Amino acid sequence: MREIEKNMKPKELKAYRTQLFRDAEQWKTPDRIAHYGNIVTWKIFDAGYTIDEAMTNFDVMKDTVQKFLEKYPIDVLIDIGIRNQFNVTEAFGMGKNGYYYYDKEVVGINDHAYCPVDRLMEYIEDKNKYAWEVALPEKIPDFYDKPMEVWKNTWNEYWNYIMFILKMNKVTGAFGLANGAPNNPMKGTINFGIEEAESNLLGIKNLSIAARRNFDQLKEFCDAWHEKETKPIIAKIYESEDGPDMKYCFDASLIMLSQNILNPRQFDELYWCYLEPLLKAYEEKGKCPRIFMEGKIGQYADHFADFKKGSLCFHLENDDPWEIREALPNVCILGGLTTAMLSNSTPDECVAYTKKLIDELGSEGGFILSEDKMLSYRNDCKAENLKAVCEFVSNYELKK
Amino acid sequence: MADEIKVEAAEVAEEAVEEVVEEKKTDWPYASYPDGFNKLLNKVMPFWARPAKKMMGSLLIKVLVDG
Repeated sequence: MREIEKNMKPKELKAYRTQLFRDAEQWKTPDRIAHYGNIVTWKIFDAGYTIDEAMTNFDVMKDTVQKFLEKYPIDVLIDIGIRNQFNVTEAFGMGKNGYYYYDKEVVGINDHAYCPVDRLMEYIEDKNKYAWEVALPEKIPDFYDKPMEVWKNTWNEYWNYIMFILKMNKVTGAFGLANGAPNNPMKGTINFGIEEAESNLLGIKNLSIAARRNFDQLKEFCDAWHEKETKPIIAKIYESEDGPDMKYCFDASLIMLSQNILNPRQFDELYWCYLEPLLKAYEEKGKCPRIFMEGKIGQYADHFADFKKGSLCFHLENDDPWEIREALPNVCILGGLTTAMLSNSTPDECVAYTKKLIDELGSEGGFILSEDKMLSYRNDCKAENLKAVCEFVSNYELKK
Repeated sequence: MADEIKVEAAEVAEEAVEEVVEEKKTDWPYASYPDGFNKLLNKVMPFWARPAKKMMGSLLIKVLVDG
């Protein structure tokens, strides 16, 4: 870390880091390139623990995050140790009926589906009602037999979890870590009907089938989702003050995955027609969302070509950053580091590649460094490689 | 013939299971949303947390259904 940043107090450092992100998004040359840490459970191994030791023990998780931030001068961390709520689901005795699972080496998620395609409209009519009266009793066979003591324990663990979130905000605040994006609504990202169908309601397999066999039903659901969920967000954006919210590095966080299983017509009719008005609202208000482009987005690059510089930031996974820069010279790129390189190369090779990324993509703004995948498994990265990259990027000043 | 009996037996069993599930659902005093759910929350939430019942209740459902 540069001396100037070492001498800053946490709040000052946080504001400075936020400015680095905002400068890059606005295509102004920042003092240095910001590093958005796409690091999830890998940091548990790096701190000397296994997944099962950390997942349900808040003290271990806090120690994990502190050790990570002491070792790596990163500017934003995608997960500050609060992503998985196993204490709550375990208190409820969810066991094998839970969608998430963990062992010593991995946190995983099973492809799941809790809503058949012919009940999607019932779900969107009242999501909580559907979850409470249909999804939970179907998911948990003894749902109606849980003793009151189990419900009380579940509540207590839920409360402890909320307190842990607040605690971790303080812990990371002491390191001057910047805030990624405002929560919306509480779960962190803005979601679309098609993404909810893919990730929870239908699952990947059923969505693929439904997009071909039940297109009209899916369209009706996505229309209803847009009316109930997305339009109120768009209205709030238009009501908000112009310009970026400087409490955050981005004005929103979106995740896109479904484009990978939709054909162009399906993408236009089930996704883009709802996404475009949201992105236009951010553009008109001078704001910039981060969109995590899981899989690839290059095949739909033309859809984003007319947006103003400063209104979009793509967090890339499998797309080549140089190809995206050529196709979309208006879009800020977040990414560049690959788990393949971080796990297989030497520190010198990683630093040389990082320098090339910065010099070719970021010398005039429009680039923020990050990892392509959420670092999760033990072998996703060598510690000495991440250390070398962090030291380089936190010291490499750009010429203005 | 044997196959027909099997099919018939399976149908009877399925109906019986559905009846049991339905019966349980109607017996459980907290099965409806929002009334039953709110009653349950009043039992498990401490008094001081109840003003935040709507938001926290929704999130608890989300944790259980997505978790």
